[in-house]
Amino acid sequence: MMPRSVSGAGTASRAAGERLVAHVLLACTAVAVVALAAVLAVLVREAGLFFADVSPWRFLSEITWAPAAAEPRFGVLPLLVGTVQIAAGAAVFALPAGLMTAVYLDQYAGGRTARLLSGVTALMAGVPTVVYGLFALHFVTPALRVLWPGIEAFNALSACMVVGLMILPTVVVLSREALESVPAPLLDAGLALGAPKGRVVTRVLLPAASGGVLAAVLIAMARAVGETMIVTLAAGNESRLTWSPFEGLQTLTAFLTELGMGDAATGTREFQAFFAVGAVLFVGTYGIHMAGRMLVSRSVGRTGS
Amino acid sequence: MNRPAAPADAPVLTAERLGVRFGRHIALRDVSLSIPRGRIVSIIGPSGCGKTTLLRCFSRMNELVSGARTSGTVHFAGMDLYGPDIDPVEVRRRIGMVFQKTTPFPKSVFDNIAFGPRASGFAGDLQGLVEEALTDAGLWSEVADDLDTPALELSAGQKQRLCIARTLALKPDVLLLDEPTSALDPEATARIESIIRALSPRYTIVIATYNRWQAARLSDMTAFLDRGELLEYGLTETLFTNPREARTESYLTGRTQ
Amino acid sequence: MTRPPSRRDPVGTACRVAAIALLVVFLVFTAYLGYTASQVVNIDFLREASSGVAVSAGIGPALAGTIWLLLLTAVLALPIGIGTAIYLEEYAPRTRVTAVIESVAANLAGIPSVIYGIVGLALFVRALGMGPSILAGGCTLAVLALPVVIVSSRTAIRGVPEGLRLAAYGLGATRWQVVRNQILPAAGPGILAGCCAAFTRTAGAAAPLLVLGTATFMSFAPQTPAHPLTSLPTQIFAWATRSQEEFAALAAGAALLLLLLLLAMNLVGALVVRRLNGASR
Repeated sequence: MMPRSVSGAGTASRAAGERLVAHVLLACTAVAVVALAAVLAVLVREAGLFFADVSPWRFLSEITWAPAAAEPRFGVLPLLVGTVQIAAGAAVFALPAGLMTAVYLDQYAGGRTARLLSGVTALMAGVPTVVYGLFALHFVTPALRVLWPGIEAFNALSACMVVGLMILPTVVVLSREALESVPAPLLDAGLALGAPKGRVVTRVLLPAASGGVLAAVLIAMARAVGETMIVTLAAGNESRLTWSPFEGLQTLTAFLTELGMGDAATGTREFQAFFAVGAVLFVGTYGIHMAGRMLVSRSVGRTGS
Repeated sequence: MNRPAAPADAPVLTAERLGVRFGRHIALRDVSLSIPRGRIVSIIGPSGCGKTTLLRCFSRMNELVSGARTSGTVHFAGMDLYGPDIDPVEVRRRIGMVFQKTTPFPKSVFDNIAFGPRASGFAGDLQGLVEEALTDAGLWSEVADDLDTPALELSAGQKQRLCIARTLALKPDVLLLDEPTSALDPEATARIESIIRALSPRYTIVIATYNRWQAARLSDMTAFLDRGELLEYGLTETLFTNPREARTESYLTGRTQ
Repeated sequence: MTRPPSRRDPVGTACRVAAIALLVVFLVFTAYLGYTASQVVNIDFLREASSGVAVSAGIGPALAGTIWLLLLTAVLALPIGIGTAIYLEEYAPRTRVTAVIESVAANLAGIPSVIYGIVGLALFVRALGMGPSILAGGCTLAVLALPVVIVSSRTAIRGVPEGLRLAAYGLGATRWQVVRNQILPAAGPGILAGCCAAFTRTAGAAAPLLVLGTATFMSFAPQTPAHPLTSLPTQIFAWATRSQEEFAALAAGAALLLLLLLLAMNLVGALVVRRLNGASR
């Protein structure tokens, strides 16, 4: 060892403590990795068993989803269509409004207004989705039935509107971050050339922030696709192949909640069907989310350099 | 200014065929030199020449960077610093380093100075140690009244002296200073330089500096690094007045940066 | 300070209208919740157990269930998540394996919570024999919270200036001394904010618990984690599915309570973050 040292007693015991901490932290990591790997493993295993029995072709091409019926049918199309319909509808309500609010916050709002709006957005982001579901079923749907008496008690329109409300904060916050990363001199250059502000926003600001805004849209869409409680409450939970916003439908996520209400036994094909649907949902949202995150890191990297 | 440095001085640190690479990038190639005890040695060269990397080799800091590989040997008081049973933590306590970017901890002045001794389990008179370190770094008179002042409230020059004091509190054998004045105004720079001179007989000091005049003012010996290679090393006077290599001469006369 | 968008700036006008619309929708939402809830909220509502009879229903057991679930998540997910983040950032060498772990964790934070529910049912409720208990719910929510805690803690730790780390190592501090004395104090506020986000996600989660199988009619508050699973969000869901007006009011009351709980949690978190930030200056 070293000939002289300012260190007092206990170098050896400190080294032992140091090793202990390292081992404890490694153990934490191992537990976390095992837990997350277990999620993937369960999903893959059960979905694998399902697809060993039901061919993926049948799964994707049949148009009836009735896993618990006496003669079960495993066509996932109605659930997929339902999910796409809800996500697309929510996008119609949330994307333009969210993006415009973000532009307002970034370009037009004064300090106090901006603080108020960001506060409200943060509050909205923290509302549990089951509360939004309650709002959809007991306020939005009755209001819609005043306008269109023919609308069903469970309908896609109400779910779309409130899922849109639910993802609105995500759109606002993430697009605002994208807009803020656009360097101010770029905008000043436009304004200095005498372009009206609105023109600078649409011709300079939005194109410059497009990567980040697209990422915001993708991450918001992943949330809409994964939204469960609003859809379960407002759109009913009956799978059917329909595009009408006035009728009820079932999404991938809403179907999954049935696992808790029914009594599908482990090992049955009905039970495995939930994991097949879960796997489809997982792949879809994981992919969208990953694409969004890659766009975020790319656009951050570009403006940062 | 330049004390005559007999080459026969006992070397404290001896590097032999030292090489460092970060991934594919070779930062240091085949460097051999020895640092005589109690002297001030400057390492000069254009930016990116490997000054900082060489300093960090002496306190085994490079291995904190992911992907760094060190080859060759460094001997410290007869021991191989990169030997299998050498604890890098112990090395860093014996060979103190002050970094280019002044980074006081977001704590009080006292806690900043006491950090090193506490980390190594110092059990003696901490107050006295702190006072001594601050005095040696020429900061005591300015902060003695209130050692609880947050270190981040000090001036830039004071912060740098605090960082030196922090390292001195470890009572290291060698002091490594990486660009100690690069962020300071001329007045603060002069302050630091006079402190370095005052520390010189008691500590062996190695300074990496982009400022060749600082090297000329301060050091007994100077090493010139270029693109990771040691081009020339000798008495400062000789190197500045009569450089052996053409590259050294053109660097010293400012024809290249 | 702020110039109103002129009439010749249709873009500005449109953006302002969107922002106002957002505020209006929020006001309608809170007004609906507040008005509906006001019909049922009183002291008895908090105390009494939920039952099929609307008038005498309360949410004591559901509230207790949610508090149990939060405690379990805190005990299970926070130490493991923060420990993992510290290990990956400060101890493990940067390799492809750590990069994969990071990327997977970040994306798992974005998958729907209901997926954690079906996995939790297969794993905790059935394979490990926990049954539809509070324990199974806590384990499931802990797994749900884990990626959020890991990712936000890693981000916070990565934000600590490299100079602090180097300076501490340069002064002969050991790895753990660097982490404990420099990294954790500097990253503390960010880690805490991430924990708040994870808690908000946990406390509001209805879908995964619904999948595990929840008791929606509970006459007494859960005393141990072995007690059947109940929680505020699932109670809200159960009441919301009833068509009678009284149940909608009960659901709104429970929703208001849940929102207040979340708000209080986040306010406390924000205050602590502010104090930590003040202390480290």
